[in-house]
Amino acid sequence: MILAVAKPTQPDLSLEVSDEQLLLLYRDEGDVEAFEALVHRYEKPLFNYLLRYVHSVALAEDVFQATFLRLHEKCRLFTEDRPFRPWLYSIATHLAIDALRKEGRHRAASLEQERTDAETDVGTLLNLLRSHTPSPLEQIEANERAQWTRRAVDALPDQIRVIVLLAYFQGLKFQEVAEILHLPLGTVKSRLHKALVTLNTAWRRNHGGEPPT
Amino acid sequence: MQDNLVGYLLDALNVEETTLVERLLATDDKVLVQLETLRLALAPLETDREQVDAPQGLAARTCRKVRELQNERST
Repeated sequence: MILAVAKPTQPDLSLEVSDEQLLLLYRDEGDVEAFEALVHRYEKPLFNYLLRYVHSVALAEDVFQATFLRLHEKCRLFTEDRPFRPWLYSIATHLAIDALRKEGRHRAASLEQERTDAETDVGTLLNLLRSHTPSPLEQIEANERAQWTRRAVDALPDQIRVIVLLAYFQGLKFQEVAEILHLPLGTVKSRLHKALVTLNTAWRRNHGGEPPT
Repeated sequence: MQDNLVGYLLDALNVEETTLVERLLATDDKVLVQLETLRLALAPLETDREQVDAPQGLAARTCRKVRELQNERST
């Protein structure tokens, strides 16, 4: 992204200012607004990544906050030649792994997730009552498919699942995923391909047909 | 090649890789068929793509914690 410089001393902290530029403003000039712009910019995508990773709203929130506290502490280590986003997700991923270890449930589904699912079900039902298109039956089927997919992704081995979360659900480039996980680029690509094969095999076994298009 | 085709569908490749895939797609029908097969393979994931909103005020609470940490360090 290109820095839109209207006033050099007071940069616009909108989306036109790159992540890297914001962090450098904070690191070099102590510009708190620049740091806070980063927090807001990543609020939804990073929270969603963490929620899928740790399966708990409360834990995802804790790790989100810990990530930016760590970023604040480590920002002196940031160098200009390095992209920000992989660095941020690398910090978040390591903190998420630590948090799950501390909770002793690295792969276990949490009660929180069950509660979230239940809330989602209630929300979905309310939506169904309010809406006529698509039909309630279609919405129920779509919801069931989404829940099946989430369980299937959760059942993947951790080292494959995290690649699906980053490359598919977060839309990161393969190179960024490789940097975050400290893996060779080819490994990232092959693991994602393997994940697709696994998911499609499971889909056909479970649903008895091709996935919806 | 299949790994790069998945990346192409997700827009996860770099410029050079994307150019290479597009060149192959323009000249090799088999690659086009592979791409379509992989597009179908992504369909299950597509069913769970929706993102939820972050908890109300998460960013603001996080910013406040960082400011508190800064204040602790400066006093």
